[in-house]
Amino acid sequence: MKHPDESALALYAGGDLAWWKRFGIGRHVRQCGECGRQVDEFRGVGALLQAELEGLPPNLEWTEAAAAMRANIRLGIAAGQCVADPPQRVRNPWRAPALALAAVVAILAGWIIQTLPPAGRIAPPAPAPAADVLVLDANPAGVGVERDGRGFRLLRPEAAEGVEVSVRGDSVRSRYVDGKTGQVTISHVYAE
Amino acid sequence: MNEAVEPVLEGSAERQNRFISDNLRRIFLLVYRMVGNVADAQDLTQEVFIKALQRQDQLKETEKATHWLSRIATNTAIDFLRRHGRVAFCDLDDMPEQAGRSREESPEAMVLRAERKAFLERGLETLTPRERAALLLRDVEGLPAEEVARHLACSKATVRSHIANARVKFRRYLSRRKP
Repeated sequence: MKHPDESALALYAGGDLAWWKRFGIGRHVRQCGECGRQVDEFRGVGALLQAELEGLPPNLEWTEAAAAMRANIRLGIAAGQCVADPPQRVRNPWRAPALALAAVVAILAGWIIQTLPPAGRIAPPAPAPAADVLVLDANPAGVGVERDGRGFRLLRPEAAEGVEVSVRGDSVRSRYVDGKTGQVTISHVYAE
Repeated sequence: MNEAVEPVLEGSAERQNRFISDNLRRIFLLVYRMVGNVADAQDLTQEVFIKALQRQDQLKETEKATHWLSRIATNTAIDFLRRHGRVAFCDLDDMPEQAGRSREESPEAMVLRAERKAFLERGLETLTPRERAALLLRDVEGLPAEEVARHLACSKATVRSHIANARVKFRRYLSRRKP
């Protein structure tokens, strides 16, 4: 006698076979004690699981647990809405043509200016002679004054921190803190 | 159930609350049976509802919302089992204050019940996550194989294979190790 395989018996026990297979295996099981025993054991598996796992866990206070879960779900949804992508801005259909038109106008204006005769152009102001110009200079390296290529500069030390430089009217100012000693040094250079 | 499901898609908070209340216990039980642990089941149940309500626009047919929710729950539990590998058991000492039915139980009965449950959980651990899901949906939830196949997004033949493997493995486990 050829016995059905174990998987077929497992499916037969749960009623999960097509009717023609169920018919064939059912006839065999009724005649074979060993296969009948296996089918009973498979049915016992389902019944055992159903009996033991049915219903809520015995130590769970469902009302409290459900209220906590509901609150957390609402919180999760609200948090999700906070970090959701912002709504897409409505795009103006005239924006692209307007930008293109502006670009064409700018190119045309540039071309016209370039093609004007030199006489029509406004002469740029002549630069002031370098001589007699007093230059006050302030940058993070220090503050100083210069005229005709001569001058002096108050340099900040390497350990200086938090350097501030500013220009006020006819003076420049720098302020820094010595990183080692904490001493604050303020340098002021006035032009007269 | 459809009465509870249909308004969810309209999005008002009151209707979403009703949808949650109508399905919370069923989804919690489904997840709990799969992961075998109350704390994880609570976390995962919350995750399932948040996922579902954040993606409700994906659902075109309101009648399918209940099945869709169960499917999200099954997949969330399977993902959890794959990530964690095994079911986390709760010690008797760590159990919450006894309440409801358990107040009437003697300490001996409680211990025996906990041992029986732990024995079954260890048996479920011998199954793959998909086999476990198929077995629980078919033999505990009582869903037909076609429905289980929809839950697990696979063919009916694959689900039958999962169910058969799970029953064979579990029967062998029971015959090897009596509680």
